[in-house]
Amino acid sequence: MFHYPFNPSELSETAKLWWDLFGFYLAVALILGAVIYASLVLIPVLYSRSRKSVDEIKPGVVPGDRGKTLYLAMIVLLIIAAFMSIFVESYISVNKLASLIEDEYGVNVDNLEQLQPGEVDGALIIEVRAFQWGWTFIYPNGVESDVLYLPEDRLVIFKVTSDDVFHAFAIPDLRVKIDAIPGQVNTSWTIPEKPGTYRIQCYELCGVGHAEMITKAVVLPQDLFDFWYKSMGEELKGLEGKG
Amino acid sequence: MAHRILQIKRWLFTTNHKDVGILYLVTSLYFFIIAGTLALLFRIQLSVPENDFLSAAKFNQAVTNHGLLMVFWFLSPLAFAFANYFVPIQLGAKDMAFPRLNALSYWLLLFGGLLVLAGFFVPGGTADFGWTAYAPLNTETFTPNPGANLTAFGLLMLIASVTVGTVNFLVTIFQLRAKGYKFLGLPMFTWGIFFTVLMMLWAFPSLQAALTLLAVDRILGATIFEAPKAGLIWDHLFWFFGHPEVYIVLFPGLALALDMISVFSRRPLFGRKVMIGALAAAAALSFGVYAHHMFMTGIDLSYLKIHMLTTELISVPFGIITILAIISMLGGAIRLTTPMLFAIGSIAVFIIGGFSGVFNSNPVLDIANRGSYWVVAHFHYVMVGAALFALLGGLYYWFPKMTGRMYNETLGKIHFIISFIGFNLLYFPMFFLIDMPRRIFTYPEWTGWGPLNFMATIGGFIFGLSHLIMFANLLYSLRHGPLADKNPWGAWSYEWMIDSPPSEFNFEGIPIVQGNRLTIAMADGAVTSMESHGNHLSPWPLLISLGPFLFLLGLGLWIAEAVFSLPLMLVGAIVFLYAVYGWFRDDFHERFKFEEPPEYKERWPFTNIHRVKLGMYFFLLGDAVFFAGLLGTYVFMRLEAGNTLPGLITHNILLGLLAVLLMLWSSVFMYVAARAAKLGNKTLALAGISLSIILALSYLVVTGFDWLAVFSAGFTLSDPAIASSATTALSHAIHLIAGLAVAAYLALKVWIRGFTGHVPETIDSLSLYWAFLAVVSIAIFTITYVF
Amino acid sequence: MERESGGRVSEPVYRLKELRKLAWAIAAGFAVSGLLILFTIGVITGSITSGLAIAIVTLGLIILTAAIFMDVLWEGWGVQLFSVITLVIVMLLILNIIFGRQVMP
Repeated sequence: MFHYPFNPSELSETAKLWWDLFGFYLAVALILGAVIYASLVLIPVLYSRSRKSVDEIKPGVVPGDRGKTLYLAMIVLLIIAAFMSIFVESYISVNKLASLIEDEYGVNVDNLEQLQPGEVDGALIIEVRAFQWGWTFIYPNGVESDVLYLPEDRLVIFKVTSDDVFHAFAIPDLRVKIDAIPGQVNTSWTIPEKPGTYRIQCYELCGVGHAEMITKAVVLPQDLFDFWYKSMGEELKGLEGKG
Repeated sequence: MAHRILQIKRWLFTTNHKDVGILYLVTSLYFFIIAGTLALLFRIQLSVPENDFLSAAKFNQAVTNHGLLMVFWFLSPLAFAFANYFVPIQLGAKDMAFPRLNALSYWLLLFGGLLVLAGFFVPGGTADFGWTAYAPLNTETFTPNPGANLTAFGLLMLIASVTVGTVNFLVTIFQLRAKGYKFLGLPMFTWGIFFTVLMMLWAFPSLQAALTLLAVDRILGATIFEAPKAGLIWDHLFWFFGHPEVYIVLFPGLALALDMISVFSRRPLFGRKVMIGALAAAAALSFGVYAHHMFMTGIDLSYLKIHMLTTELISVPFGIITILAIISMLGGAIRLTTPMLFAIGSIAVFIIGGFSGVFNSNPVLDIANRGSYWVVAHFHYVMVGAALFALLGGLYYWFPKMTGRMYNETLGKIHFIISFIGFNLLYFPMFFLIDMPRRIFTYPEWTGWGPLNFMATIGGFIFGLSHLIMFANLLYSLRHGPLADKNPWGAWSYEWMIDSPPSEFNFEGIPIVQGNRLTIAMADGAVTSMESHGNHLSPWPLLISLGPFLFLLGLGLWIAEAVFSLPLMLVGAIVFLYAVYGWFRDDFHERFKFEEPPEYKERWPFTNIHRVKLGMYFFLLGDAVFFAGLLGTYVFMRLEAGNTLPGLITHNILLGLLAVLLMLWSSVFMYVAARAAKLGNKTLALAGISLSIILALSYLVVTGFDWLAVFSAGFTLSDPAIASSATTALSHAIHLIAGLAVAAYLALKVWIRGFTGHVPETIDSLSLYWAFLAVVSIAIFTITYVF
Repeated sequence: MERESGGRVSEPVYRLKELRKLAWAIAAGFAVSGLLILFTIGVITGSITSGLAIAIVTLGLIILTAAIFMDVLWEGWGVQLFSVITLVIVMLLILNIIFGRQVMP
């Protein structure tokens, strides 16, 4: 039923950002981890009980402080350097997430929740309402749907809120996630890059139906999406006209 | 038979720190078995897609209680079992600073846990909102389960236990070190416990505030956590506690692993002082990083960046500790005994847990991590892996000391190997389940999560059942193991210089430290007379905890509309009042004394301060955070919860001014009484206490009148600002009423018996308490009556 | 009259210390009462309106009262250090609640 990617970072702009960053963290972790693990395994093996000569622990004597200041300072500085590199990278990435839409679309990310449909050229603003236990997606033309249809290659901004309890709205493959809090409108955005069907699920325990709070996001090519959007809108108008 | 009754009495009424330690140990292992069984149940449910072994409701209850019981009633109590048993010995003390309070904190913990378990048996089910209990799911509207009330009560009893224990440990560590024992010379385990209790002191009151507000919601029908955006305030209060809590669980185990690494590689730790500094830095930073649990709540980006920085910064001290621990082994003569294997295993999994934690520090990466199995894997690597492995190592390490017998080394090693493999098989696959949400009771097959989950379940069973080897080994060795030496590991600290198991007062003399040598000066006349301080047993800690247990159980059942609830509450209230009366009576006749002369003790930096007063200081410093949480909630509600009115409109500010002035002068007169007591002026002391009591009573009347006016003006608890300020006022009033009971008792005692024992110090401490309440009433006035 | 918390000081010095604490406490009682009354007048007349002003007054009054009535001024640096840490942690919690919202003030 669901399309599964060959390369997960190609699915959306946010996914690309995420996977790049994850790769960086993973590389740092693997390099440092390999060194640390090697010493953690090798040292006990190399220095096991055969060398009986060392015995610096005497009953009733507080062990002294060991370690040259120089070595200690080097270790501390090394760890701080590793931390700095990670911090700088993550600081850049957080800003990148904002500038992704600020530069291209001229959106001010600071007050996204006040954004009205049509205010940003080319962007699609979708209202997401979470409830126990399901989702409603409301499009600018008033169409309501429980399946999320998204256009390919277009900025989509989600305005997420909840009708009852704390939920978390997520399209994991597209790397979209934001908490749905009653009384508050949170925003998240992405630019889907590949047509397909993706899982939408709730990521915060919200009661007995939590596991079944699951639906799908369908990314359509632009023209197909426009067709769907228009025809749904007209159908809605027709219904209203009748009513 | 008489002997057996005596044995039972000993365990129920004991106040000896080693007995209390054993009680903690047994209790924590009991809760470990229960919480572990719950875990195996839901691992069965998750092993294959679309399973129907457990229903969603049962699954959620199992997950919730697994988390709560493991964190609060297993990991921390296991660490505190060792802390109770060994910290006083490692300091060179004969007992804790307040032995009866020590027993009290055990019984509160046990009965709190039993309340949580009782929730399972209430019709309608127990708490099922996850151990984080996010608002508003935790309110009665969305979780009507009556058992959830019992869970909240159980947690409140746990917090009481933690508060008492924290104060006790801090005073013990500060004032009961052996003469000449410098802080820096203390074993790492004691250092770890020291930082742990410091974090407990300031972290738990925040949870207490959150739970108090929740109790007001659930019992008095307020709607604080159903107000718009109130999910955020729960997050703040919970995680302000929740993040330090992770280190509260981790620190004792981590520090213990360091001690074991040093002993079994026969080398002092490399950079011991740097490690202590790193522990201090991590403890301090732990209060400023918690917003990484809230990266996806849509809060301000600049605020998040600060917490991203501090979260990444906190990896520095832990990195330092890990690397220095490994370097410490370099050049040693390493003996790979069971405790050492567990210590190395603990460091090994801590590295994975730590690295995966760095991934969570980034708001962008958190888009995938938040609420997923990645997080589950991460915190189990830290809490189960690092903490539990080290503590199990500690169980083997100290088993010969506690029982006088050796365990079977081969079985111990087998236990380590199997549990280590099982652990990694259980949690490592979860890193690959980064797309799978936490706490879902089932998942469709097309998600492809089946095989990894199946692997985890297999690992879970291996890990869970591997502990049976340990239980069998230890239970068999308890009776039949070979007798152990005083010091089987060749370790250096005080506990290894005394008998196994230690005698009732640990040392057959006075422990004194000269330079870097721990010695036990031989007993002389002065010492033996000190030991004849009579009865060590007291029934009141047990009864004083049993009372609230019965009362709260009754209250929970009453809300659930069950039978026998009201008699249960009545019995509970009577037991509690009788126990309080009994405690006062014992104090009045000064039946129970335990005080070591200060000249045998190192008391830096609190050289000139009485232990009762010091304990009161620590208690109040923690309590300040509780009131800050409540007042912070009020401020939040005024800022965020829509159409709330300022206190200036809802309250009469002149009545508020009158009340706060009454409270202030009540405190002034209590201060006068304390000075008079110190100077030995009985008349002035009695006059001061009486005036103070009268003014405090008038304060209660004026405040009560003011609140009546507020409610009769049509405001109700459904207004979140009113409800949170009412909770603050109510908590303050309860504090004051408890203080009034003590003040009245002290006045009576001074009147009849004069200044005996440490009565002046007690009055001095009471004046501190009164001053604190005056400070709080000022804050209540300037914030809730004006803002 | 040698009390433990009085330390190893001589009797007259000890008496003097207690009496000095007493004098300070009574003076502080009047001072804090006066400040509270002034604050109330300020609120009623509308000269104190902003949240920041209320916060500063609250903080000042709390620190003054705690310093004198809770003996923080008179005890050793250990108590003072722990009191300051507590103040920092209390401020940390309150500031987190105020600033950790969707829209910062």
